[in-house]
Amino acid sequence: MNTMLSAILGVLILFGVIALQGLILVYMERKVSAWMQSRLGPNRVGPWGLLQTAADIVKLLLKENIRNERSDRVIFFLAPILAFVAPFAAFVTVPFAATIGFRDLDMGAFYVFALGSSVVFAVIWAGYGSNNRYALIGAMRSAAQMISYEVPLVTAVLGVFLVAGTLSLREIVQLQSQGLWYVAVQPLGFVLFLVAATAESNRAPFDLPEAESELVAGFHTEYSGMKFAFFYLGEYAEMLVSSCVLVVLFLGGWLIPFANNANVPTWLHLLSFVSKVYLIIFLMMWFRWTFPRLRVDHLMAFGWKVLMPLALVNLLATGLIVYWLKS
Amino acid sequence: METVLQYFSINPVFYIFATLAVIFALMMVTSENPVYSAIFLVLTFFCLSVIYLTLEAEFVAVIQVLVYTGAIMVLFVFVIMLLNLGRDAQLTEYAGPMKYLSILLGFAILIQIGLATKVTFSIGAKGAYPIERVNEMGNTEAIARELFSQYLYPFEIASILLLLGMIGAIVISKKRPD
Amino acid sequence: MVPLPHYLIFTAILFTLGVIGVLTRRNAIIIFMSIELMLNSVNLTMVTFARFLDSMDGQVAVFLVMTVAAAEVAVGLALIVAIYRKKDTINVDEMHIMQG
Repeated sequence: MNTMLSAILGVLILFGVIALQGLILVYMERKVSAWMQSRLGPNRVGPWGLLQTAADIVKLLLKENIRNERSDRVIFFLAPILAFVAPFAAFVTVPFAATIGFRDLDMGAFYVFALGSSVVFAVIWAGYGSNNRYALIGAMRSAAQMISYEVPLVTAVLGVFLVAGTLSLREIVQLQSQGLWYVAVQPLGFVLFLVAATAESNRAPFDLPEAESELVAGFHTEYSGMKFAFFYLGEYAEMLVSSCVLVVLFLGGWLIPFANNANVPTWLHLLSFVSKVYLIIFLMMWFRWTFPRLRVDHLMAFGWKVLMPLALVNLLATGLIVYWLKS
Repeated sequence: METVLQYFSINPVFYIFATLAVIFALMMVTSENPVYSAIFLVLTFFCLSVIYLTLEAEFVAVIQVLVYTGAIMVLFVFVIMLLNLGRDAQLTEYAGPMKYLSILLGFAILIQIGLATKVTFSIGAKGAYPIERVNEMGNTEAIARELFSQYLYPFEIASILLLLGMIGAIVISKKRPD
Repeated sequence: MVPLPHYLIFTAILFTLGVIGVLTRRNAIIIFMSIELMLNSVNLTMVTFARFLDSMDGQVAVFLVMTVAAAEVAVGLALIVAIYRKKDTINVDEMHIMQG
């Protein structure tokens, strides 16, 4: 029973940490976007506007939960829960530092991708359950986009698995401590993964499922109050998961660059991990406020005609080189 | 390597998820609306994935979610929405009296399989992968060793099949200029 | 450990549900999903036997079955889309242009 208790405790801690990260990320997004547009951003609630997101959460909690009369009650209710639970569950296998992390799974990386691919159902159910044209169009776009970008995403990281020879995220980091980080070994894979991961978490310039200027708010048009907050939190949780996986696979996880990592205190490792994750998230925000949104057909063409062949070439080249080095 | 499987090898997990899977499968077969059918099938697949974990087949469990729910079911839902099959006009079905005969036939199959499991069949020779060895080397590695040695040709043929499936799907669903 | 017959009975029930779905439903998509259910129940049987016989062959076979299922779904759904474009229905009873 002791393991069960510690598991529950772990889940609670994880939930708290992610909710807190959500708050920080929303604030960061606002400040970053303001900075890029020469504005000030939130600056009224609390010092430097730090409490703005907290105030927003209170507002969302107090808001009325509206449901369309002809919407599908069960699906409408389940969608935001799934949107949050799936990326949340993916954190189970992420190694935060050498000794911190929940479980190291034998095929941890695939586990994360499997959960990431179930998030699309949240979007589809939300779109279908709302009984709203815009929501449905958003959901369909999302389904097409997810299928198209899932393939290059996984193909891009297969190169890393070939080099590492393992699917366990912790072992991948440990292997990187002995040599180069995989961003140096697999530069093309890194870029492809970054692009595909941005698309998978529905971030601009790939935010077609919720394109504000065309579809009102896309799949979550009909959502309000706490349910909307769950979608919002889910999106940030997904962003966190993709950045964590990216950092683990390509940027050496908790390792500190140019240092002897053997006798460094754990909190420094943790700090290194978190700062790398935030760097990647900053990059994603930078994308959002730099690139205009793609058109649907351009999106598909980009996924299948650019990312996919590049990912395959990368995989083939990596395979050949690994084979050549080992024989 | 630490395993999560300690949790899943406990008996109740199998029975709970098996019951859930049967209920969801029944709902899938009986739902009028294809969208609901798809949702219940997704839930069935999730339950099956947990049941794979009770058999300590981690890789298959993860691939189950990745391939079936992440790709195949998304494709199904996409087609349902593309053709707008959720609308009322598409939901009427005329199965007729043959329906009851088919259900009887289904149960006949069930009884037949049930009887087959009652027979004490002699279990064949044990394979080379007892669970201790698999846990030591990792489930993924064990599968990979078999797949890329003994089953290399089937694997290659499967990849050609996938390519053909891809080409076939594009050719069939392409709009031809009339 | 759950005894072997329980797994087999469970997969048998799932398979039967798939059969009943194929036989009673007239909606092509739901028939298709029932076939997927049958494939899955067989997959589970193979993994069960693999586990009880200390072998990996069953799990490898599941891997191959999933590949075939993916290809089958891609082609099958393309067929359904093509038929729907032509006949504006996916009721299998109305697909009889090949009948004399």
